[in-house]
Amino acid sequence: MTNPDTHSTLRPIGFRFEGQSSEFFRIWIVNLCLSILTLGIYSAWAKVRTHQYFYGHTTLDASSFEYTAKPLQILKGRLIAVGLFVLYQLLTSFVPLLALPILLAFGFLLPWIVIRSLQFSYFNTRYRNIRLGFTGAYTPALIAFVLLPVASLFTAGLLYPLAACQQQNWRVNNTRFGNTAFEVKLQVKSFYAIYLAALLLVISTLVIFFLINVALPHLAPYLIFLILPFYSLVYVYIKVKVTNLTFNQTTLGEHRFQSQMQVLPYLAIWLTNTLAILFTLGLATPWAMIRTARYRASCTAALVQGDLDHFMQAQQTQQNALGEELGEVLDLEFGI
Amino acid sequence: MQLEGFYYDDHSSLKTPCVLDVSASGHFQLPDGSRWHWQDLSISNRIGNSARYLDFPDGSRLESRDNESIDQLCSQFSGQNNLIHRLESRFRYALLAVLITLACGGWFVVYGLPLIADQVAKKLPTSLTRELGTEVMSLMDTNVFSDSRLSLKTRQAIRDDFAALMHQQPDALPYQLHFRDGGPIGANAFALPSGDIVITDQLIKLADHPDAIAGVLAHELGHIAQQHITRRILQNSALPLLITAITGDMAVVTTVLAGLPTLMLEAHYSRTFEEEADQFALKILRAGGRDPAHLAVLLQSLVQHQQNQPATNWLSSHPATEARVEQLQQSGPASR
Repeated sequence: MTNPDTHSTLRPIGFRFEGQSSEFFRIWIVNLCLSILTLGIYSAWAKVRTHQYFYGHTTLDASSFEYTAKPLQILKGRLIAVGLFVLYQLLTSFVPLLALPILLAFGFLLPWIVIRSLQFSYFNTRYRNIRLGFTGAYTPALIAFVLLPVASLFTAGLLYPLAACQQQNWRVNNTRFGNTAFEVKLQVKSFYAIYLAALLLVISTLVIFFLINVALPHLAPYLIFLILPFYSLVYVYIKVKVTNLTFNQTTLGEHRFQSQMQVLPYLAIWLTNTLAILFTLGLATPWAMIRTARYRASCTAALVQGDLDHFMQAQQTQQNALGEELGEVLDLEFGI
Repeated sequence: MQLEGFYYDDHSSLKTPCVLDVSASGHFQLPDGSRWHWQDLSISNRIGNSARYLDFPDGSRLESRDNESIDQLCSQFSGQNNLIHRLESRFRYALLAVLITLACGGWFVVYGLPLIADQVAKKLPTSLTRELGTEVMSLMDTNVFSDSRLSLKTRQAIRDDFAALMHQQPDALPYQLHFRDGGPIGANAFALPSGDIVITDQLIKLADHPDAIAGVLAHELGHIAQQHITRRILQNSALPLLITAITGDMAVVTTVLAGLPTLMLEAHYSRTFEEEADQFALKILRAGGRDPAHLAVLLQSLVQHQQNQPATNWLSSHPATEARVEQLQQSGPASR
């Protein structure tokens, strides 16, 4: 942990998110409408505008973040990714026997997708004219994203926290801001502590459900309404704890980070978002996205040593968007 | 015109507060002394009120939130197109976009997707659908069914009866009848895209008239003739993809969202198919001078049977049984 002497000279600067629901709603619905009218072509432009809206309204020390991806590049990657996905759906629906070979091939492809996806989105993230970058290699990704999770399947999930820990360590330690590296040393035991607590949550939920079933059988049919909140609670708990843990241990040169998300407020946002989206046929989505971003920014700060003026740009080359779009089609989530 | 912002050089994160003084002719001077014209700049798109980035040819840039001044200078000197931003900044366009989106979305899931699935199903090679049929058949035989316990005579009588009915049809449709003991799925019948029709002993025993069995078989043949299973696979695999595409990158809701509406839509599609198959059966029964009312009676005994034995499901994905019964009875006994 940090030693108190250096801590005293660190100046906390909070992240701020200044997006407005009503403003973003108009952007969102125009995006959606144009995407439909152009049979999905505009969705690449929509993605850039949405990202830029969120990046551009997130500020740290009065400077905003910037998303620089080019829509045409995204469109190209997206077309290929969607094509592959449709092909996969058709193949596995009509020739179920192919599912296993495809799954195996996918296992070896996944690390590549993760790396390319991170490279693309980081290269296109700028703050103060400096780009983020990603330098992760294939083999550690194969271990963290494929081999360990598969091994955890065969050990009743016992290895899963180890996999999650390796994934976070690998991701953060290969991220750069200009030519300065992010560094983190997350300990496996912290992840086991988080997942053990989550497991206890699940077990106590099951016990409560069982007791209600036995003691108050006439309430049993209503238990189904509790499944979503409890499921979300476990998900949110893990997400909040892992995010806090990672941010609080990450360093960037002499600077540090701080994340103070809390489980219950985030759960409340999550649940109200889900309900609002369900009952408005999706029209509440922009509102939900804005308040999530606002909460997350309000809990996050950079602990700055001196000032942020001394980062240097690194030489990088632009990546194509196929990996990123494959990741998106498959609903993989890697964002910080 | 004066433009306030932060100036960055091309290689570091050094932030210099800066006021750009743009002359009436569009010329201005950077803090490093170089002089440029507004047309030399490349300017990031306006999205809401997020900061804009003005890229100078030497790699340095200015970050400014003075969107109004930048827009004015752009229209004056570089004629940058702001159409999308104008669409995004008025509530009446947003309202229009909502209406278009809902109308298109509704039309697509109710009519568009089924239409596409129908066309694709017609173009799929028959070898593919035959293979699917064979695989499902052998899977069901090993796991669910056992051999039929009906006498060979009964089976032959049903075969002959249905063949006689189909003989009166103008177009011959290839099909194979299979008799099986339903085991756990009880009174049931289903069709495979390969032309295999399976009917269980339990369903046959429940029928008190040969026309009822002929009706069930004609209904199943309707599924085959109209390629319902292939179309259903196509539609159902396209739906989650579609809903995820529309709701964007938000993993927050996709799980729930993709769940509920998808289920509702799938039920809607499956009802439509059952109605089509009923119509098909009605046509055949009438043409053959059979009484559809017997099928209606069988449906009603299935409902009663189902109350005793919850595993039965020839009805579960079907339209409300009362409505079907009514339609079958109203259509009267045959074409007189």
